[in-house]
Amino acid sequence: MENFLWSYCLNEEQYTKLYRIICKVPGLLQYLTDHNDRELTNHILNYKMLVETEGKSTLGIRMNLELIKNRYDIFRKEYENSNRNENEFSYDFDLNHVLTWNPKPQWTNGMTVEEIDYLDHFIPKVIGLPKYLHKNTNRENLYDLIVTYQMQLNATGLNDAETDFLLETIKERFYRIMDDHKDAIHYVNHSHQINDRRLLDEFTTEAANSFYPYDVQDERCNEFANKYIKVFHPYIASEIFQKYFRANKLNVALSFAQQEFSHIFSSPNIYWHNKEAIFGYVKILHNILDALGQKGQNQLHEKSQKLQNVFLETLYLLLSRMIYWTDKETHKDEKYDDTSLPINVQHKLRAYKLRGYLMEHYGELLVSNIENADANKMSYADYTSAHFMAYIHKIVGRNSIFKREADRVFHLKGIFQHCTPEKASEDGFRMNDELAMAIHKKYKEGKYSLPQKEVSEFVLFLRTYFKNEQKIALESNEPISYLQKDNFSPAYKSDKDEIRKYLQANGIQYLYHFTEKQKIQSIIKYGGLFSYKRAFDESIAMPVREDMALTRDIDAKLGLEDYVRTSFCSRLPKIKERQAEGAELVLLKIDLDVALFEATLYTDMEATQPGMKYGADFDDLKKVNLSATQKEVSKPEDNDYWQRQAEVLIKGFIPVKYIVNVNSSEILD
Amino acid sequence: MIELRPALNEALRNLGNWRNKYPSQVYPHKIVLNMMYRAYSTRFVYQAFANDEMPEFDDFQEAAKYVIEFYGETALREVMPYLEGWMANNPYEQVGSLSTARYEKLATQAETDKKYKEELEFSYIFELLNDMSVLYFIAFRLTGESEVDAIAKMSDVIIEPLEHMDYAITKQVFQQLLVGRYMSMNYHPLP
Repeated sequence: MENFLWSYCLNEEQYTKLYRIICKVPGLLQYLTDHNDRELTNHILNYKMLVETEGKSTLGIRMNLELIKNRYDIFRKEYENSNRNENEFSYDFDLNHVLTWNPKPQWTNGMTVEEIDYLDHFIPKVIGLPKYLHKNTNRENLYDLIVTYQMQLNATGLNDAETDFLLETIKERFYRIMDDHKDAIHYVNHSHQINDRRLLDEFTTEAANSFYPYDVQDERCNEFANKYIKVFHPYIASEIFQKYFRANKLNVALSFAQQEFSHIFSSPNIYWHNKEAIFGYVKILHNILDALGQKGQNQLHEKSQKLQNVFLETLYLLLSRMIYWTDKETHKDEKYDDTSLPINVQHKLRAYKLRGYLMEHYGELLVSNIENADANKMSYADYTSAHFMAYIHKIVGRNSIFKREADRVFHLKGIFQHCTPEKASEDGFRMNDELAMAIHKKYKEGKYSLPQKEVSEFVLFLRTYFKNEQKIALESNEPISYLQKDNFSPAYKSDKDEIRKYLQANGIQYLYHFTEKQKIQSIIKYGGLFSYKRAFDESIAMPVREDMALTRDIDAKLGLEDYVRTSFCSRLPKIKERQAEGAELVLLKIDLDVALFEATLYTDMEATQPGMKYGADFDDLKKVNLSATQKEVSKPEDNDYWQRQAEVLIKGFIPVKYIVNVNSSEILD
Repeated sequence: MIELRPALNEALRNLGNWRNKYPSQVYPHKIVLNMMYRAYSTRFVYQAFANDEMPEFDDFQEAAKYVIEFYGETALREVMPYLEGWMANNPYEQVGSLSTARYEKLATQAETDKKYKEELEFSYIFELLNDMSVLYFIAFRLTGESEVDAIAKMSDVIIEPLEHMDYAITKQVFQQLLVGRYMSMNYHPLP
């Protein structure tokens, strides 16, 4: 090795790699021995010309000479780079070569010399780009920088097709490099998104007319499902799955789920860069997690630890994907509003909350040998992150439900014994990040890929489990466990008949809930009215109003955040206040059945008033001044002003079938 | 068994890119262009290997890196400048398992018919995995494995030695023993 002067920049291994190829090119070793100096590249080029002139060149010789030249070039740059960092070697700064910049731009963090060198081939070809990048070395995302530069060129009319092609190539290459790096889960490669926009737009429009408004028994609904069964899009499948699952139409629901399992449990996942698809995956898996509950998880564990592990870890990964969606980017060419599709801040909040829940309840299954304390910190960090994100976006006040969840985990799980809240949050955040990246790596390696046979086994397990639960419910005359949560199969109070009679005897025919007119479409789409907590769970966008954020805090403080608020009175004073602000309101009539649900609460006055009393028993209902609730008008100075606004609080969700006038709601003047 | 996942990922990434980049009338023909590009390039690499123009290696990873770099340089320098000429002037030439004429016909049908577009996309992925298998096979051979052992290591199938292996036969072997099976388990059509 010492014999060749050009080997000054090579280690033993690199030298061996080059030497093998050199020996395979006839005559080259002798040529280099005869021309021994520090410049290998020139000699390779000269030798190439020589063999061509002599007519001895073959494809193998030409390619081997290219490889020697390329590899040597990279090895030399690696040598220069490592020595420069140690200040033992200095060479001239060259604006056209990012590798020579000191310090290097932040977007090169984690890149190899070879990767930077590759980009170096394109960057100088765009006029002005090296200078622009050199001015912005503190930015982490080259994609963003290029987008801004493209916009500048477009604005000044300097962009042309060739320049644009180069810039697109740089963007594409940057994300491709990032895709292979440790923290790839933080990046979204826009050029690798499947173009599903038209399909989703069509689906959204058509579903609003032909799917969401109808019961699954309706033929129009089934026609719609049949039309989309062969589309194989995760978001579409998740919407149809959920509606049929809630209606206990397991065969249809699980067919759509099975379709998507073959995408979810596969690698590469063709939808990895499509936000609606990721959202759809999460929706299906989370619905199943919820429906199985601890009992179902135990049975799945008994059946196949592998399936359970794949299921939980994949859900954790997909939730992480939502949380980290475009978080390394500053340029986001995406606009969101109430009816927009995922992923916006609401969906991220939801993902934080669900991941916190997942880690709290299944942490030991997700990470082998994880200590409870660490799993709790990870859960705590997610609830805390959700709180801060919601607070910053003015969705909640300082004492949000997320904060309460975080406090609960911090105190009840004993984190306070080990560290401060700040430290717990910091550790948890880091561990979540590391776990997500580790699972993502395994996912890319196909560790969570299930062959069709195992997907079928999983679906069979789900089908059997749910059928069994149905049977148990039928035999015991109890609600179906997996449909109980959102009152699709509600449990009733033991004295429901007496309560109904009592309400009817007091002239109560319906309960009332007022809302903005434009919310009706969303209520139909989501299949009912959510509590504020459940709305977060489902990532339904909430209006950003400071007073509502505070009301939500009060609800959270009283533990009432998971209840839908309805009233006995159809003309609440708040209606006028909201109308004065310009809101167009409608009044929804709710079937009295919801007042009989086991978890339903009765308050003796407006639920945020100090001194308000509430409870779930008939006796609590009897404390309500029902005659006051039926008064046409009331003034603040009246004794029964707040009593008139007594409420009936329904846990979690009111399915749309209980909203009797959802399609013809009364517009309030 | 050899891991074809990165190759499948690459194929899907490429299709996604082109779908976004090209209009529906152009997209199928870009696929054919790239199929032929890969086929001509891999055939050249195979010839260089068969002519004993490649070094031996102790380690498969190192050998694979070499073969893939060799492929990249060949494609860039020896195929790209001439590809369109070869395709135009000799459309019926059989390059391994492909010919321009056959796939151009399919591409024209795929311009308007989703069924043919899917068939073409499948073929692109299938051929890419096959060509990658050929490159991996060469890499195994460069580490000193016999033909039979290299095939066994890649596909977990032991076969009788073949009398003569060239690019086309090697592709056929992997179509039957490896890629067909892999595709049936891992391929999902693009929407």
